[in-house]
Amino acid sequence: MTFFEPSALAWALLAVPVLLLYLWRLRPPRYRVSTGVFWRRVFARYGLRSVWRPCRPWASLALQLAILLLLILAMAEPHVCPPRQIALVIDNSASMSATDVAPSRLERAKQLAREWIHSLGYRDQVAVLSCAEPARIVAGLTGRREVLYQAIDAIAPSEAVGEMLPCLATARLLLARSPESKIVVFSDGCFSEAAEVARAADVAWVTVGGESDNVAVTQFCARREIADPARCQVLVEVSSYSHKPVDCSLEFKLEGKRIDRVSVHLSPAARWQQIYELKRLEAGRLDVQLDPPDALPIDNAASVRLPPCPTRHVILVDRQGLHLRRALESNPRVELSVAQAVPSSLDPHAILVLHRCGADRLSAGASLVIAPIASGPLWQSGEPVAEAVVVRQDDESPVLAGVRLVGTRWPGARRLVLTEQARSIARPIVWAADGTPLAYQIASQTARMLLLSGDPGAGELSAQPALPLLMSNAIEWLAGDDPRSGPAVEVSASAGCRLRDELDVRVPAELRGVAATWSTLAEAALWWYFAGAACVVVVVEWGLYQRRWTC
Amino acid sequence: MSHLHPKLLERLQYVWLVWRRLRDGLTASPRHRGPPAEPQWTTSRDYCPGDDYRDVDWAFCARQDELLTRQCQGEIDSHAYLLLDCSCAMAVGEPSKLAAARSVAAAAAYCALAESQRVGIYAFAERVVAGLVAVRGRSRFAKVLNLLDAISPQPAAADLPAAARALVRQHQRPGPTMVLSGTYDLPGLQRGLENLSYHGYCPRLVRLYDAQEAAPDMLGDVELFDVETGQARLVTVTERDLKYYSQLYAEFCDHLRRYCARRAIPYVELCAGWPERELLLRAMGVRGLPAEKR
Repeated sequence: MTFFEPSALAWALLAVPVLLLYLWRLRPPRYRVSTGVFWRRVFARYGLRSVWRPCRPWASLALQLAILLLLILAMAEPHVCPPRQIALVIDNSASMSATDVAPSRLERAKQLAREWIHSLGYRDQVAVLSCAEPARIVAGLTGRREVLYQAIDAIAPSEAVGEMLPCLATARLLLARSPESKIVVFSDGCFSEAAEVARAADVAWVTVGGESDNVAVTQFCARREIADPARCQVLVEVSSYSHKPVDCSLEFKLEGKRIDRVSVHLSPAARWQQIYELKRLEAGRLDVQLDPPDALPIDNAASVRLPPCPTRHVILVDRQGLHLRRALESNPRVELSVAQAVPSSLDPHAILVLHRCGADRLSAGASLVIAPIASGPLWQSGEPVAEAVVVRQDDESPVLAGVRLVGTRWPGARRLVLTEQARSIARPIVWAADGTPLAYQIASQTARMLLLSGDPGAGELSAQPALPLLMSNAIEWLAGDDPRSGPAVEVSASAGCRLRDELDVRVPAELRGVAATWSTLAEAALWWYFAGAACVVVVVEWGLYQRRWTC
Repeated sequence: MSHLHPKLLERLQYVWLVWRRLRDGLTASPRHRGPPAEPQWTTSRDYCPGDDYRDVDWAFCARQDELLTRQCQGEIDSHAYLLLDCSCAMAVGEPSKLAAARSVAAAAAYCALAESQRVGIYAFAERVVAGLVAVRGRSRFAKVLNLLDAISPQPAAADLPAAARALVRQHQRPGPTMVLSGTYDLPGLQRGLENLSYHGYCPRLVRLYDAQEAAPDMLGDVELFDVETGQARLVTVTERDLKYYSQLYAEFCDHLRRYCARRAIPYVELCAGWPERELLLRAMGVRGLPAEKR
C-alpha cells in the first residue's frame, strides 16, 4: 500500500497529546456521598458492568486512537493499485514563461511535477519529457526520485513553439508496453490542440496559469532606402492579445541611447504598425522596448541590426565633366577622388572612372570608361558615329535598371571595335540608330568594366535625374552588387517576432482550473473506506462513552 | 473562628418573633412566661444521682444526716432537647449539612430559651460527643453558641439509638426533642425515634440533605467516595443510573415520611443549600414565609 499524500501521516503526532490528555483525565472526578446505600443498589442492578469497568478507560483510549489513525489514513489517501508507468510532459514553450503565476508558469509546472514525483509509489516508474521545440525525453522511465528531480530541474524555459503532439506521441511510445500507464501534461493550454489533448483518454491534464493579457512586439525590421541609402526604414508592429483596450509605449534605443518614445493605443486583439525613418550611414543596433511590462516579458523587447551602408572609393580622371562629377558626388555611398591623370598606384578595390581621356591603364578591379579618346587594351577606337542617338537599350542589364536612355543623344560617340578577348565577355547594352553599340558591360571573373563610347552627361541627359541614377547603377554593378536586388532587410530575431501566433497566453476557458491528481489515477479510492470506518468508530465511542440518553 | 453567621442573633430574633406568632413548633407545651412560680413542696424521696442539688432538702439533711429530694407540685420548668448529628455524613455538601444543622439548632435553642424553657443540646455520632446540660434563660445562649461552634464532624456514622439512650438515661424530665440528622440509616432512625417517644421525649425529626444527594448531576466516569465507610468506587454513571437513584431516594423519603406520620412524629426535610432564613423558618415549622423586617 502506498499513499498519495504521505505528508498527512505527520498528523499521527496528534496521538501524543491525545495520550497525554487521556492519561491526565484518566482519574475521574471524585464525588463525596453521605451514604453508599443507594449507589450500591443502583450498581448492583448491572452486574456485567463491573466486569467491563476496569478495561473501560483503556478501551476508550484505544477507540480514540483508532479514530485518529483511521482519519489520518483517510487523509493520506492510500491506494493499492498495481505499479504504473507515467510520463510527465512539461510544456516549456514560450508561453510558459508568462509570470502570471509566480515565479513563472514553467516553474509552477515544475513544482507540481515535483509534488507528483513526491507521491510516487515505490514500484511506479515515471518519465519526464519537455515539449518545446524540439520535444525531447529529459528522463527515461525510472523510479528513482533523485533522477527525476534533476531532470525536472534541467528543463529550461524556451522561446520556441511547443510541439505537444509529437511529444505525446513520444510519450505513448515510451509507455506502450504498460497497460497501467498515463500521460500527465503540465501546460497552460496555449496551443490550438490543447482541448483535444486534454480530452484524450490516456492524458491527465494539469493546467498552469490563468487568463493573462499580453502585448507583444511582433515585427521589427530595418532596411536602407533604395533612393537614399543613407536613410533607414524601420518597421515596428505591436499586437494585442487582450480582451480590452491597451495603452502602452515604445521606447527606441540606438546603440543603447534612447532616441524616441512613442505612445500606442491598441484596441482588443488589434495590431499596430508603423514605419520610421532613421538617417544613419553606419551599421548599428536598434532596440525597442514595450512598456509597461506584461505577463510574458520575452516578447516585450526586440532588437535589429541596421544594415551597413558601404562606401565605394571612386577615382575620377576627368578634365571637363562637371555633370558627371556632380552625379557622382550626389551619391552618398561614393567616396570620390578627382585626378587629372590615372594615379601611378591604384587601389585594387577602388573604381576608376576615365572620362574623355586615354585609357592605356585600367584598374585591375573595376573601371568605367566614358568617351575614350584613344584605343584601350580591350578596344580599338574607330570613326565617330554620325547619329549617336540611343534607339534601343537592354532593359535586362542591371546598369540600366530604372534608367531610360532611349532618345538621348551621346555627343562624341565613336565606333569601338573590341578585341577578340573582350568580345567574348562583353555585352552591348545600348545601341545607336545604325545599330552601333554605344555601351558595353564587360565582366570577367576578376574584373568588371563598363565602356561607354559617348558621353551621356554632355547631352540632354545631363539635366535629367537619369544621369545620377545611371552612375549609381554603374558604380553598384562595378562594385559587384546588383542594383535591382534592392537594399538588404534586417529582421529582428526576438521571440515576439518569431512566435507571432503563439503569443496569446490566455488559458482556454475549458481548461481553466483543470488539475488532475494522483488520486484521479487510482482505480479505487481507499480513503473513503477509512473515513467511513472512522465514522463508525466515532458512533461506537459516542454510544459507549458519550451518550446521555437512554432508550 | 465561628462557624455561625455573624448576623445570626438578628435573624434568630426574627425567627423567634415569627414563631411566637404562629406558635407551632418545638416548644408547643403549655405556655410559661416569666420566672417560674414559687414551688409548693409536697413530698420527698431519696436522692438519686442526677437530681438537681437545688431540690435537695438541706434542712432535713442537717437534722437527719440523710439526703432527700423534695418533690414539688404546681408549675415547673419545661425542658427541650436538641440531638444534633455530627457524623461524617453531615460534612457532605456545600454548605455542609452540619452548618445548616448548627443554624437550625441555634434557632431552636434561641426560641426555647426565649420561652424560658430549659434547653439541653447533645451532639452525637456513634455516641454523644458533646453536650450542654439543660440551661435556662436567654443569657445562656452564648453557651449554646459556643457549644455549637465547637462541634465538628466526627469520622463515624451516626447512631441515633445510642444518643437517645444516653439522653433518656441522663434526664428524667422529658421534653420535646428535636433530632437534627442527615443520616440515611432508616432502621437506626426508627429505633432512636421510638426510644424517645417511648420515654415521652416527643421527638421531632429534622432531616437535612444536600441537593446533590436528592438529585445528583454527575455523569460518566466518576469516583464515588462513601464518607461513612471510607470506600471509594470507580463507576460509570448513566442517565438510567441517575433515574434509578432518584427513584430509590424518593422511596426512602416517602418511607420515612409515612413512618413519621404513622407515629405522629413531626418531620421536616431541609436542604442545606437553601437560604438561611427559609431554612430556619421551615425548621421551626413555619410554612408560609412572612416578609423579613428591614
